[in-house]
Amino acid sequence: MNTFVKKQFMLPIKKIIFFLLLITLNSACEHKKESFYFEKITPPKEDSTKVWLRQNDNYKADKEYYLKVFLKYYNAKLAKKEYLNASKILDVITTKFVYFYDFDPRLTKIVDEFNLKYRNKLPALKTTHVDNYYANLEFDRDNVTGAKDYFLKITALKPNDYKSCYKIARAYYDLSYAYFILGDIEHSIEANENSRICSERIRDKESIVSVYLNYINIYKANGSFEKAISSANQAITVFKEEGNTYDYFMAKYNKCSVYGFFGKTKLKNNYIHSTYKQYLKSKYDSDVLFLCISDYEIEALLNENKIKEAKIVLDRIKSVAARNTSQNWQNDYQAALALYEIKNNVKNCNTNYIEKALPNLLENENYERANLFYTVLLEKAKQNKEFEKAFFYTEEVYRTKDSLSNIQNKLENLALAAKYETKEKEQKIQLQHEIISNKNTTIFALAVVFIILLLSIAIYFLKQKQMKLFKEKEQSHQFTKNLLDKTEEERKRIASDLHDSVSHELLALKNSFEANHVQLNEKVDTIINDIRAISRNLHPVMFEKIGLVNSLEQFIERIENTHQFMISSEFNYQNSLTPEKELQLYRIVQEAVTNIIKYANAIAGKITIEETPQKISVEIIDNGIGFNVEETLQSKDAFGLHNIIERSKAIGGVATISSSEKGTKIVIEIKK
Amino acid sequence: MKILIADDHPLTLQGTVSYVEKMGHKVVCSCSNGKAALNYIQLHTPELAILDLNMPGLDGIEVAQKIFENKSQTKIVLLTMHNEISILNKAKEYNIYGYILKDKAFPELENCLKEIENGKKFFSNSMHNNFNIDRASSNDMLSLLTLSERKIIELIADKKTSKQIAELLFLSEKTVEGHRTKIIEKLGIPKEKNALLIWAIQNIKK
Repeated sequence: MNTFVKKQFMLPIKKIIFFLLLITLNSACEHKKESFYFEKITPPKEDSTKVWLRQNDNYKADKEYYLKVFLKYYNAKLAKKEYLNASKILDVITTKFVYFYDFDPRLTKIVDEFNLKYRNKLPALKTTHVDNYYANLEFDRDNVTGAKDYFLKITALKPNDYKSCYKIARAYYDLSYAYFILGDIEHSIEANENSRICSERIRDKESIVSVYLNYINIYKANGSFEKAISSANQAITVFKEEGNTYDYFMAKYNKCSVYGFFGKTKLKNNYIHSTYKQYLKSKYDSDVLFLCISDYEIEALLNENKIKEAKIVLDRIKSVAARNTSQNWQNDYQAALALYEIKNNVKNCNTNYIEKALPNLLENENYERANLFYTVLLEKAKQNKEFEKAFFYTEEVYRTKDSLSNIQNKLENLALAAKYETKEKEQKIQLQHEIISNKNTTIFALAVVFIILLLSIAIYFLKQKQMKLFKEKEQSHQFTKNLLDKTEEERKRIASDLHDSVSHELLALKNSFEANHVQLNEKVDTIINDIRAISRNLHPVMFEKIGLVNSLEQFIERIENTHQFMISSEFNYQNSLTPEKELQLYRIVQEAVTNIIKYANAIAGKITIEETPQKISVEIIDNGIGFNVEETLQSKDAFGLHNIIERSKAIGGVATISSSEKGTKIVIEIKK
Repeated sequence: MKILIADDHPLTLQGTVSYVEKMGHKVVCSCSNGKAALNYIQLHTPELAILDLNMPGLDGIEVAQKIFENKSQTKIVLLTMHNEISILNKAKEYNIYGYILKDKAFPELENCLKEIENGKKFFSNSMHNNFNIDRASSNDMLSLLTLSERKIIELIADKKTSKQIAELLFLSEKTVEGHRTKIIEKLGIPKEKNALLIWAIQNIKK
């Protein structure tokens, strides 16, 4: 009864522990959801075509084939109405083409079609790449305002995972550059800072440092040379650490532009020479990088009047420029070409391309490139000694330069940038505090859970120990009770034996006194034998004298004769135990054999005593029907078995009882 | 013969002394405990000592043991109520000359002394049939067999092989084969192939 109550009590404890664990786990999960950060999720394994399409080398090796593979894959996905997968592959392809500044009209057509037909079937966050493609396309067509509007479309969305946050961070970054080109430094700073926040939310180091790339331009436009250079240096260091070669050279290119902007021509020339050499040595293959670094190199060489060297560099990029579909880089190449021609032969140089492109640039407010073109034209005018033209171009050069950031705003913007920087630092400190407090709460929660667990485990074990002790106590209690009962039973048996056999026989003897001598003799003999049997049952005769083995042999013989039950024996025993212990062993064997005869229904049994230098083992086996040891030991009528176990313990031994339907085996081992 | 008699029960002692003297022997010493008996034997070495088993001080077996160890010439006869082969076996280790049950003493003690005078040993006849075995129901022929032999023939009737029988009775196969030979001898079964099996199937009731 008592044990049952305890078991019921144990169950709720387990349940409580379980619920506590659940609650803490849950709260930990919720905690994550509210978190500022998005964790990067390892994407599931992509199919081989997608992996193939992701690789730049495949695009570079054979663009036509690359496009064909893409179209087949893309159309298959659309046919299966797997719009999300089609969108994903389109994302990969447009990103790749934008990366290579390749605005192939065929791809544009596909994007247009996707935009019209399928885009509305998908969530806005999953199709930002369409806007990104259009923005870059507009950008390349010098329609910076158009590009800006597309980027704004992306940044209007709220990120909900790592990937969307990354895309929005990039959009902010591009937006910042667009604002910069449009001369709107205030918005450029704001967008750049937003890009930083988004980048930090995904903890993407490269993305964070990209922010510095924009700051190079922003500080440049604000006339803050040192800050622009330090931003550039920071970007260069991080990209180098990250092994991002493309952005590493891009940062160096930007640093060059800072030198140029502030008229530090010598620094610029030296820096571009080393960068150009480094680029060639790196064997890094990017048309865009090659073009823009080469343009600066040509400019520098022409400045130093190294016309021949400039021609070599120019020739190197001729084919690259020809195959590039990007108008931006075409413009830059044409500018470099024009500069070279001006230097080489002013009279016959052809600046038609530049002059034609200028109105378009101005209309689209692309002041940076317009500034570049005006510089070229100014150079030409100077060389040709056309002073009127030269004056006009000088004016235009300054106008376009100022348009990047008008002087009145410069100071304001500088203050703004500084403000953002302090704000950012404060934000960082606050974030760190949050992280620390979050960590503290997590540690505290974990500690609490741990303590609770520890306590419950301790309670559990204590309870179990208590239960075990209780059980043992119960069993020994039962044993004592049984022992008393058995003693009483034994007394009863002796009393009835004496009364039934001896008394009756004596009575018969008394009655037969008159009868003949022989009859009298027989009667007396019977009485003597009866008393012998009673005495023998109480205690093996002269046990101490004749020892265990002899007593057991006699016991076996008696059992065989009275019960017709065969017991074979094998004794290898050197009398090394005290008579008291031997008597206990004798009792154990007696008990075991009695059990076999009573319950086992066996054909035969065997008693073995084996003595080794280490121990003495007594084994009693039978081939009877067996019984369930565990169950029987728990039940109340297992006095015989407990008797064996208790007696074994009393003589410093261990009893092992095993049973199956093939028989029972009791082994008592006593260590010497 | 010069005889020593030791018994802690005075009435029995008296009875034994007079019974032995009646037979014409000389009781040189009668004592009531083992120690006195041992002392006398060691000093005077009588020809025979009739000892009770249960005595205060030293008991009969202990005295026998001491005498055996001292290589005394005195022959020992144990006179006891204990009808126990185990005790007899133990006592035989000390080279006793006789084992007599008190309740069978009247004819047996006389026979014993006669045998010993002739240089022989005597052990009570009634030692082996002290069990009340009810064999009325069993076949007459089967009563000739020992328990093991009977078990084996029952199992033979069950068409068990010697190997199976050996396993079932926890014996070696060789022992079982030996028992089979003995059974055939005891029952007088002709030495033919399967004769024992046929006999067993015909005669053993299941």
